[in-house]
Amino acid sequence: MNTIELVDVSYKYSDVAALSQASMSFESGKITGIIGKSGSGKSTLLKLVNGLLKPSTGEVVVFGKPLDYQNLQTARLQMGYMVQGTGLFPHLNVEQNISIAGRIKGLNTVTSRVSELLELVGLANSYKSKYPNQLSGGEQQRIGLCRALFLDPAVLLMDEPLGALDPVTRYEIQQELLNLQRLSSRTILFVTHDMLEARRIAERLLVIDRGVIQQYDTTETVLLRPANALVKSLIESSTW
Amino acid sequence: MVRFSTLLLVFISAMTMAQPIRVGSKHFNEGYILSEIISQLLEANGFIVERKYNLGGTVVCFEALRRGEIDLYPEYSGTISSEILKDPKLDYKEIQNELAKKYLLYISQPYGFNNSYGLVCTRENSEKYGLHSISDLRQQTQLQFALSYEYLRRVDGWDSLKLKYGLSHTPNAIEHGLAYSALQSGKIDVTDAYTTDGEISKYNLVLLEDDQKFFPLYSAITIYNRNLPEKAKALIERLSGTIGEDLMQAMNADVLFGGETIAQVASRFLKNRNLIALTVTRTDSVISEIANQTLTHLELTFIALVLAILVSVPLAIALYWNPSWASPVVYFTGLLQTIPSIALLAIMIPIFGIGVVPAVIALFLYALLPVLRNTLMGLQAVDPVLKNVADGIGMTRFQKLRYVELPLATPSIMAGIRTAAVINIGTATLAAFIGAGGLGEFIVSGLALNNTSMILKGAIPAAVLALLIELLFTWLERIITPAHLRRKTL
Repeated sequence: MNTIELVDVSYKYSDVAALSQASMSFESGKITGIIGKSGSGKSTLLKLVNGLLKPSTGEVVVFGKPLDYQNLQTARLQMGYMVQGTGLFPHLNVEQNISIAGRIKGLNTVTSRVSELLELVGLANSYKSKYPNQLSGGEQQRIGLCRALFLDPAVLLMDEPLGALDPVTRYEIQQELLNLQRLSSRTILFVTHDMLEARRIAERLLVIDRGVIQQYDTTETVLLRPANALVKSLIESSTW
Repeated sequence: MVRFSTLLLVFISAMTMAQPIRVGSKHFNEGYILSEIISQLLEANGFIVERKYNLGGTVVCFEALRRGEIDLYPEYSGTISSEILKDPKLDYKEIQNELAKKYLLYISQPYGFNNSYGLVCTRENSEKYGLHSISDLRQQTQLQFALSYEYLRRVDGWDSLKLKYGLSHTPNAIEHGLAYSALQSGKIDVTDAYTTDGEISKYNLVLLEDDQKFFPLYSAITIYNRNLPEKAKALIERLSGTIGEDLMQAMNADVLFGGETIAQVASRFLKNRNLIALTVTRTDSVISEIANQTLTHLELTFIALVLAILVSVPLAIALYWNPSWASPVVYFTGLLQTIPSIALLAIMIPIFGIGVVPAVIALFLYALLPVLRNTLMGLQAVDPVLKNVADGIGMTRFQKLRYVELPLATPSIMAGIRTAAVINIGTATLAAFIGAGGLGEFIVSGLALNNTSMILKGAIPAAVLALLIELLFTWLERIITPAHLRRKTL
C-alpha cells in the first residue's frame, strides 16, 4: 500500500488551475523530489497532501484513508512539515519549538526526545534554551528538521526547506537528510527548484509543469529518458 | 399573630434606623452647605448619613431621588415648578400636591431665602452704561453675555427671558464657577447668577433688577422621597425659616472666600441656632482624604478595565475568526468612543441610576475600543507563514491561538490595555458628576467653589496616577512580552 495517493485531484485559485486532474501514488519509504518551474504547482501539491488546501475536485488519500477536512489533526500529526525560510516560532526557544507537536498531542516525555534529535542533526544540547533569532540560517533549518521529526512521522513534507541556505550548509543538511533516511526510511516529499539538489537526494522524481504532472519515475529514468520535451528542457536548463 | 406582626414592625423600624440616609447635593457651593447642614443635623441625632454630593444638575439629582438612590437633597421651588412639573406658575401648595401625586415625592417648608436667577454685571459697567434693571440691557447690544450651561437650557432660562425682555444678544456658554473671574477680567460683561451667590458682595457686582417680574420664586426647600424616616422629616422641618438671604450669602462667602470648610460653616450655623450641641469636626486629614479618593478612582478604573479586557479579547478573537463581522463591530465601538463623557454619563442615569455602577459601565465602554482594536490588529498581524506552519504541524484552531497567535499578538494587546487604562484614569474624574466618587470629587467641587487648591488636590494625583499606570504597563509589557520580541520593542 502506498502512503500518499492523489485521485483525480484538481485545485483552482479563483479560475486558474494550479493543479489539474492529478492521479498518482507516491512510493512509500522513498524520497521524492518534486521539481518544476516557479508557479508550476509544486507547493500547491504539497499543501493538498496535508490539507492546508482543499482540492476543488478529487480526493487525497493518506495512510489509506481520504483526508477528513473536519479533523485534519490526526493525519497532520503523522506528517512532519517544513517550509522555506525558518518557519520557527520566534517566541519559543529551541526546545519548545522542537517539541511543539508533542505538546499539542499532550505528551510528557519531551526533553529526552529533544536531546536525541539535536544530536541527530549535530547540535549541542546547550541550544535548547536559545531563541530562533540567536541561530544562524543553517542552525534554524536543522531545528526545523528536528521539529518535523519530533513525533517520528512516517511522512515528511518539505517545501523548499533549504532554499535560503549557502551551498556548503545546504550540502551538509542534504547529507544529514540522507543519513536519516538510511537509519529509518520515511516517505519524503521534497519540493525544490534546484535540479542538483534533487539529483543528490531524491530516489524518485516528480516533474510538474503548469499544474500538470509530466513524469513520475526513478531519478535515473527521468534523467536518462525524459518523458517529453518539457521535462527534457527542465533537466537541461537547470543541470549545470 | 399580633405578636408576630408587632415584632416584624419593630424589626422593620430597627432596620430603617440602621439604614443610612443618603443626602444628595447638586455640585455648587450653596447645595453643599445646605446638604452638609442637613447631614450634620441628622448625624447629631443618631442617623447614619451617606453624603452623595457633586451630583450633576437638577436632572441627575431628581432622577437619583426618584429611583431611591438618594433620600433627599436641597432644591428650589422655582426649579421644581418649571423644570420638573413644567409649569412655572405653580405656588408652593400646588407644587407639594403635584409632586406627591405624580412622583410620590415630598417637600419641606422653605428654609427662608429666595435664591432666584438673576443677571449681574460689574459696577463699572453698570455706571458706564446706566445698567440697573434687565430692561436696560436692551439698548446695549454690544455687551458680551456668557451664561451657565444649565441656564441656557432651562425652560425658565435664556430663551424665555430673551422673549420677555426683547433682548437680542447671543450668549456664550460658560461654567458657572468660572463666570465671575471672567466678569472681573472683562472677558465677559453679563452672566447669570444666583441671588445668594457670595461673589455678588465680594466682587461688588450689580444684580440687575427683574423689573418685569420674569423670574419665579426660588425658595430653598428640601425634597425627599418616602423612604425618609418620620424622625428625620421632623428634624429637617426644624430648619424651616432659619436661613435668610443675607445669612445664605454670608455662608456662601465664608466658604468661597473666608477659607472655611463647608463642614465648619454648616456646624457653626447649627450650633448658633442651638440645633446641635457640639460643633462637628471632620477628622479626615488631607492625605487620607486624597488616599481614599485615589483608591476609589483606581477601583473604578480597574474594574472597568478588567471587564473591558474580559469582553474585548474574546470578542476580538471571535471577530478574527469571522472577519466579515470585524468592521461593523469595530466601527460601533469607535462610535461609543465619540460620545462625550458627560453625555454618556447622563445617558446612564435613567438606565442605571447614579453611583459606581453607571460610572463603571461608562468607563468600560470607553475601554472597549482600544483593547478590541489592538487585539484584533495583533492577531491579524501574525506572520502568515507561521499560521501556515501551525496548521501544518497539526494544531487545532484553539491550539494555534494559544501557542502561536496570542503570544505573538501580546505586545499589541498590552499596548491597547495601556491606552485604555490611561484614558480611563482621565475619564474617571468625571464620574464624580454622578456620585461615583474618585479624584473627580475634588475637581468638580473645586470648580463649583472656584477653589484652585481643591482642583489641584484632584488633578495632581490624577496626573500622577496616569503616569504611574504608564510606567507600570511599560514594566508589565517587558515581563509579558516574549523574549525574542523584547529587544525590538522599547
